[in-house]
Amino acid sequence: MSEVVRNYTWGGSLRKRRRNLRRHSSGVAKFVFPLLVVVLLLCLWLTRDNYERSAFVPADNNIEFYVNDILGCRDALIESRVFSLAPGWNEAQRVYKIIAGDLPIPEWLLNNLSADLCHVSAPSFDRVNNVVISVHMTRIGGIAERFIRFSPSIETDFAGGLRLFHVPDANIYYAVRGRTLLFSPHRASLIRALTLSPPETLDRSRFMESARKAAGTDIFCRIKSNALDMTDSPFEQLEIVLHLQPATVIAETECRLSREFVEQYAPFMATLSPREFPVPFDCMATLSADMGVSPLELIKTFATMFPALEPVAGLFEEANDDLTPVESITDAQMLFYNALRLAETSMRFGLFGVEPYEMLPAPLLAATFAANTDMVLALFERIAPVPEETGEVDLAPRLDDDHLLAYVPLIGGPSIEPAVASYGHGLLFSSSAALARNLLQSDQLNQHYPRMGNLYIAIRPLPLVNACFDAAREFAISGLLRGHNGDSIEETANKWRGVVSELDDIALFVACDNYDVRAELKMSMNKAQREDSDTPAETGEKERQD
Amino acid sequence: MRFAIFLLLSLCACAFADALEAGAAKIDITAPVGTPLSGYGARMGRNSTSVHDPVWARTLYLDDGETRLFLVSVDLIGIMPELRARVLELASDTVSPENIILTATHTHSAQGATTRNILIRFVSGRYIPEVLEQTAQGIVDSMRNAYDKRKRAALGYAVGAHEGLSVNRRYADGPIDEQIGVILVEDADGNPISIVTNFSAHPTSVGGEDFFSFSSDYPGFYYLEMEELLGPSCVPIFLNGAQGNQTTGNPEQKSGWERTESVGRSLARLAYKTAGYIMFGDVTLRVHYKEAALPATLLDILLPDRVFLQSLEINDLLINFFPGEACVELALEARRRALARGYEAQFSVGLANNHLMYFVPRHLYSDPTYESTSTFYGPGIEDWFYEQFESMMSRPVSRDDNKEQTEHKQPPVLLVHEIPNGVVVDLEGTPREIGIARGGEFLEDIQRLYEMRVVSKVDRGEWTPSSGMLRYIPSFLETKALMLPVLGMGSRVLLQELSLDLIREMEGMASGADLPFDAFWLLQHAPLYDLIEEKTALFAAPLCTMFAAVGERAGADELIVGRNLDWALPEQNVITRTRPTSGNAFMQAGFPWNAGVFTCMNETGLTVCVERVQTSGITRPDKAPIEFILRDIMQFSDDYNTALNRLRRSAHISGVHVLLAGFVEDEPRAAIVEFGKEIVVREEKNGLLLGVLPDNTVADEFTIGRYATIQSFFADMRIIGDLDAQRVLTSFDAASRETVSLGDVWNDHTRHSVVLLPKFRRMNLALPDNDGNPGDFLTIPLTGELFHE
Repeated sequence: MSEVVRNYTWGGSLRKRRRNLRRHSSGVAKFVFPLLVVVLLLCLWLTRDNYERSAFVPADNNIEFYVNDILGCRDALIESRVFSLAPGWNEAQRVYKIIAGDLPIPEWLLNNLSADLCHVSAPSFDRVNNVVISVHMTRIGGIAERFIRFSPSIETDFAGGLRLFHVPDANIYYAVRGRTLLFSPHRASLIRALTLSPPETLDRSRFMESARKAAGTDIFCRIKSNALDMTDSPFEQLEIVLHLQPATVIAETECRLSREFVEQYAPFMATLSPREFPVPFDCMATLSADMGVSPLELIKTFATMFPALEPVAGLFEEANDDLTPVESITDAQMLFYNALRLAETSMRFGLFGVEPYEMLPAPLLAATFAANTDMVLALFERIAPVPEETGEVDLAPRLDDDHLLAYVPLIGGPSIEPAVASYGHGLLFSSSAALARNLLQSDQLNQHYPRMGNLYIAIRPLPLVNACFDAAREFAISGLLRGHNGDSIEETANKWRGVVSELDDIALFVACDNYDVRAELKMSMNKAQREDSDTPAETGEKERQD
Repeated sequence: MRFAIFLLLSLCACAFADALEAGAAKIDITAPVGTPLSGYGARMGRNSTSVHDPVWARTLYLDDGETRLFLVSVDLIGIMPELRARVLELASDTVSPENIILTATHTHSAQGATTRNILIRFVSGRYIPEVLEQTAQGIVDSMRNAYDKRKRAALGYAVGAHEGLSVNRRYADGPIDEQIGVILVEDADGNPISIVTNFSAHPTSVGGEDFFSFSSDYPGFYYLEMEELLGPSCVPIFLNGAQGNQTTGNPEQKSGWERTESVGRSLARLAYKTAGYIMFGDVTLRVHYKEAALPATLLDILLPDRVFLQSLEINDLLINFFPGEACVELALEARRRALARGYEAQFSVGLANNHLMYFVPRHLYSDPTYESTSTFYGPGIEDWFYEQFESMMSRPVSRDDNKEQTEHKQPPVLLVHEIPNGVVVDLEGTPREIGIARGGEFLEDIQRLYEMRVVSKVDRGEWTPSSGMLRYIPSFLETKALMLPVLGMGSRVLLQELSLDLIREMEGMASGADLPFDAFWLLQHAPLYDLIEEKTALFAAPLCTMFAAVGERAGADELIVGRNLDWALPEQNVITRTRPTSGNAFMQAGFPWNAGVFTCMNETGLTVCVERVQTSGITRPDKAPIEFILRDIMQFSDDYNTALNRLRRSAHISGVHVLLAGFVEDEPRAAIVEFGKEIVVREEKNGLLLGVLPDNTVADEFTIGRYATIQSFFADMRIIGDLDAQRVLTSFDAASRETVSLGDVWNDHTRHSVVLLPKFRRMNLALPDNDGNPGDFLTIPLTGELFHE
């Protein structure tokens, strides 16, 4: 009796369950356990990974993207705010909305449907609709897909036994092979991907190598020359790796230039190799280069590519013809052309700003070239004495006291006073003698960039845009800028500032080795902006989760 | 130098005015060396290099108990809008802004850098906001100091004369302003507080090695001399007058700085001597001001459409302040009008409160001089100033003037009759009234045609010169904003030798059509300019036909003139019958916009038609084109011989033939005046006169073909009637209507066919119908009802 009471008061229900279990264990176990095993085996069998991904990629698809951890890339893209750089580009905004918008399916499911590498390929840029995307599912993803395909919004397309599925709302066809999910907006492209014979498929090792390059949250892209609808494609193959980091986007590019292009437009690149080149100017826009050819040769080369430059090239030809070695230098044109003739292959250019209040808004430009200093000084010695009558636009060159700088008063104030100076092992040109004198005091003139290469370009977009609009504003308020007045130019300036304020700077480094070109484009996002915008972004994220 | 006082005024009682308070102060406002100077474009905005003598802001404060004012004179090229705005911002409210009179001495050697407009920067150098701020602050400091130093004072004024201190800088015998105006202000003890001198001459005597030095020019030596004469406590002030075409003379035959010093010190001594005649009395101050709408200008990117104007009355002295550089003719006329109203003296002060460039009198508007090309409000700007200043005079209009104005203000007559495919407009009134009525009637047409034929062509670069700076204007710049004023400036020479009446009428037309005068004038020349730019396709079609039957060959009509005007541009046909207040009434067949005449007859029966014979290699004439000369002939020539002589003098015309017909003592006469390399006058042969002879070597084949048709048509007619003339003018080959046949007289470009009957002062007119075929002839008499014959 007491035992009964005791049992009832401290755990009757437990005992009951145990009793029940004990009572039914033998029958259930006999039935459920084998069933579970069968289901498990069935699932394992259904979701076996028995297809090579590369078997679905046509070898003649000229564009390939490898994206590892697609959701990670999505987050990195959103966080990098690259899309905010193109607010006026509707296409970019559409893509951004798709990427940053609510996911069509729960995140856990998407993670299972696309577990690691996502591969995108298309034949060319003018046939992007023929794109085929393949993703790798987890077993859970694979099982989930088995259920999803019975959803009323998905139609089965027998396709001669290939068993495709059509999502009419999204106009997408997809198919599942093992744990590989393939989809495309173009039915024929998907069918072709599923029916490739081994010789038509991408080489497996190449696929694996590319996948390795897209490790982490990076994107790897390979473009073959046929992807472009061009008679003379500039390259044979182009590979881009995109590294997405919260404050930086880096695009590493490797390409092999086409022989035809080099021979026709840039023959000097055929023998070009990485060189030591000057450290770029510390300014809003700079270019530093050593392309193995002098600026005069470079201008001639570019003139063949851009006919607008032909008159400039012609001017130098003219200067070459006109000057005899003993002639005195009496005007600005003779001074600058002949100085430029001394320029060697190493060069750099910089835009230091704009002086909007000059007589005419004037850019502050400087350029340096490697040159034989003795020859530069010899050139300066040939500058003729200043004539008594110089004309309103004063083109007569003057020598600075230390004889290392020659300048031309031209018109206006100190920001429109072209100058050429000698320094270390080179020549310095500037649109402003005052700027030239400042630069001559700086150490950077004689320094070299720490990496061997051929070209470095850096731009700080916000100061550059501000400088341009500072100049444009002066024309606009004077009624001289077509289509703008003071108010409208301010409006346009604000729009541009909104675009570029996200970016701190953009830098491009290029190294050439014969026909191979390696380039690195780095976009550094504005940290201050990022911190400011973190709060709303986080809030938005939180709202989404809520 | 002989000194003459020709007027001595203000001889009131010697007692000090009870309420007058005055103070004066000066502040050195010389900007730092390195600041660009303003005045000469040749400096190209380069930096100043030294200070020869400082530049000043000098202020006289006056308060008569009711009116307080600051009269400020600054040694600057002008008072730019930014500077005035900043001074008014910084100024205390001691004196209301309307009573602050800012003037500049116009020295060409003081700081620029105070103007942001890019066009002005070419003269004043780069814009330096700090210099603007320092200059404005200096002016305000001088105002504050003048106010702080105020004390009981007496004021008097007088005018004297100079000989040779200034000259007309364009014409040796041109007018000058010999007047020197002086205002003397003394304190209760008779110590001079300030002396104000008004004299007209450009302070442009500094040059050579000191081209880049700061200097107040001759006013600087005036200050020094006056301070020596009146003591250092006196603040001499200089007010430059209507110096537009006046510059300093050289009576003492000096050079360089010595000349500058000679003029400045001589002026001071003259002013001092004049001041010796001043007597003091009660003083009443009145400042009149208004914000006035200016005539339209083509240079609207630089110049405003409204301006602040001031006049100051000190008892019976009237001072008019011009907001720019007025030529002396305007000052002399303003003075004449002021004295006619009963003022005892009048000063004109230039460069006050703004700098709207030059103001020249109407008769100088076509002069190819710096002043005339730097004026932008049309030839009527002088009348505008007279009207504005008269409206600010407190003295009433005299009875005679009032009566004259009342009589003058009869409304103009404007009647419009619709005719098939055209209109007839009857006009009567003064030239300006006629112009306004016509411009207003066709406002939309004129504006549309101006946009289409001038503005859009300039905007598209079709008229861009092939040499010079303008061709380098980059496409992102507003080309037309720069090109149109320049074209306007260059086209004024085409007004030369035209009567002032015609110019007034065109001012009226421009005003009626709400266009700047220069814009309207450019529209007149749009077809010509198209040709000059080698765009001959517009006029490749045959251009005009004209002939005359004279004497017995014309039968009872005595004189018949047949005329087709062929004109490639689509136009509305307008026949105007004009009855001006002076000269002859006349009627012309033309278009809404044309102020010259192509087909016209006046009340004496004098008839003119013009035909262009040469259609390529045309250059711009140096003076007025033929259609404007003909327009003046119609109004002012009564007889055939006078008109012919006027045409013979127009040697600058080429490439056109003019048919002139009329009567000499009732004898019918007609001639073709051929303007080629030389002027050839060809008269009728067998009573028939053709605009172009078939053997002409310059005319094109269409012209020759047309005249051959007419010649053969009339060959067997002993007497040519007006119906015959109508028939030949409207003849064409209907079978080949699409293409003009060589013999077609009427063609797709014919805008009107006219048979003029000078004896009866009427024209028979046919206009093209909607299909381009000739309509019915309508008879239009010079006066009276229109009718179908």
